[in-house]
Amino acid sequence: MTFEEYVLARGVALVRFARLLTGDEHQAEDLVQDVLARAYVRWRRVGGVDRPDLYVRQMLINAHRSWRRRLTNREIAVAAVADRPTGRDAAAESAERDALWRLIRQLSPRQRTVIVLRYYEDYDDATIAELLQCSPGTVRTQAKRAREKLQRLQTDLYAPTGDHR
Amino acid sequence: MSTDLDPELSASLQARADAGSPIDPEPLLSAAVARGQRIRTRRRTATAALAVATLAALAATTALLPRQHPDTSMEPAPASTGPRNVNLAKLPEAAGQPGATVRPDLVGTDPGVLHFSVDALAAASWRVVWSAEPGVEIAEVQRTDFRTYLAVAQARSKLPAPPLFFSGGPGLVLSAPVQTSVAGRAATVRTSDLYPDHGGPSRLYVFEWEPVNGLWARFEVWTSGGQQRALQILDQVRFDQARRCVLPIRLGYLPPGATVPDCAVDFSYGAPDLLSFGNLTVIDNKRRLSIQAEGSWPGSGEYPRPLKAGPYQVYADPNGRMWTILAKGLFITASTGAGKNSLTQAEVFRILAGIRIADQVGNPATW
Repeated sequence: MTFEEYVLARGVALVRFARLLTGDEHQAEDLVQDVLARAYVRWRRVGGVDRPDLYVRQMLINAHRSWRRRLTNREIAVAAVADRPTGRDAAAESAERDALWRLIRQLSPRQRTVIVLRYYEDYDDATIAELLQCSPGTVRTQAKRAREKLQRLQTDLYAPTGDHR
Repeated sequence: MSTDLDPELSASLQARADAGSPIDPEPLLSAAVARGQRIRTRRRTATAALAVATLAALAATTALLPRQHPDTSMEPAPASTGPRNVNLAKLPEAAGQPGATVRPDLVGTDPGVLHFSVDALAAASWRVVWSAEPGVEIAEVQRTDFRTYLAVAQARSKLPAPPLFFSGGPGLVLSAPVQTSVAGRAATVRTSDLYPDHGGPSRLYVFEWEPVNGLWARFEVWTSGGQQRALQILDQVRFDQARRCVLPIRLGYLPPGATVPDCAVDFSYGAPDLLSFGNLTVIDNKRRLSIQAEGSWPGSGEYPRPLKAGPYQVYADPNGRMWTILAKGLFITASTGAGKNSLTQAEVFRILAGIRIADQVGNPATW
């Protein structure tokens, strides 16, 4: 598969995946462009691996981790941009999804990445472990902790606030 | 609130990924290529600086290498950040070797010889890729005004399935074959309009014909000039010449019984000196070792353990299946398959130790 073929076939999916990693539409496109540019330089190698799409996603995850570190060092706040409500979010039927997304954003970056890979990309634990360069056991632990935290946050979010009434 | 979190998570993530502006992969591709070309240029500069600092003799040699000269006659005018047509390197003539129309029975039998020439098309282009593998020989030329892809084989069944250039593109549909002729021989042509080119609407033409008995060819061209223009472009391919498929490296040692059945060379604008990439594959029974020579540094900070293989310092990737050598301004990478298809590090090092690098890595005539 040529680089051009790959980007035309998988570019949209990569940007969607990056939107979930970064939480920001514009950052996502920039991140994907950055990763694809590096993939372009070494495409003969990337395109020659067994699963080039997985390889590029691993590059994307690593690049996002590196970006996050740089952004943290430069004290640039970006998270709030992604949470502005859209017309779609405002619709009643998607309100709960939007609320859950806000909770997902409160997970640690590694937990969020595991959740995205498991529940959006539908990868199994072995593949996620390969992508994150850790053991499947670590993936399961991270996923378990993420779910527990989300359930706790959901409980807090929907808990009655009787003390104030 | 549902107690079953899993489907909620999937739905929430799906909704968030789909929210936002529609995503168009074409600008994504253009931007990635432009950025990639800039990275290559930066690496070329860094590599040249390293060479000057450490190898004065090599620096003197480098100064004598042929330079690339922009061809300003090409249309449309090149974008400042995108690729532009230049005078790319040519593969050396294969002296004494006949072209495909003279000896069609030799096509696809020797990965070291390509039995045709696309030099006329490549004279002003931004990328040329030559490759040979058992049964088929291929060349790809990308220019700012058109793109072509050619495959030749002794049998029609050996030609890769069309379309070659964008075979993985989503939804590409070719028209039914229409009878036409190429150089007086019966041919078919199929077309597609799916992907507009950067300079305006282009159409893909896929010609398939038998230039002489026993030789099959498929030629794809993306052009906005219509079928006549497509045929004019095709007419520049020479089937009566031969070129050597060569890299600036040669393998001085192969394990007993191992073979090298393929060859690929990639010249592109923005690549350091002339070579962008070259590849050979060593096949030992079912085990594979891919050896690539690149003119640009494929990564940094990923190879923490310098080792030795013959005269070379080797950087082993932590994955245990990839090794890189930096020598004479080339980055030579060997990567082997996983599991039972892999060679051991000791076997790989014997092969790497035997690599001979051309004295003039920027001059294909000397490879």
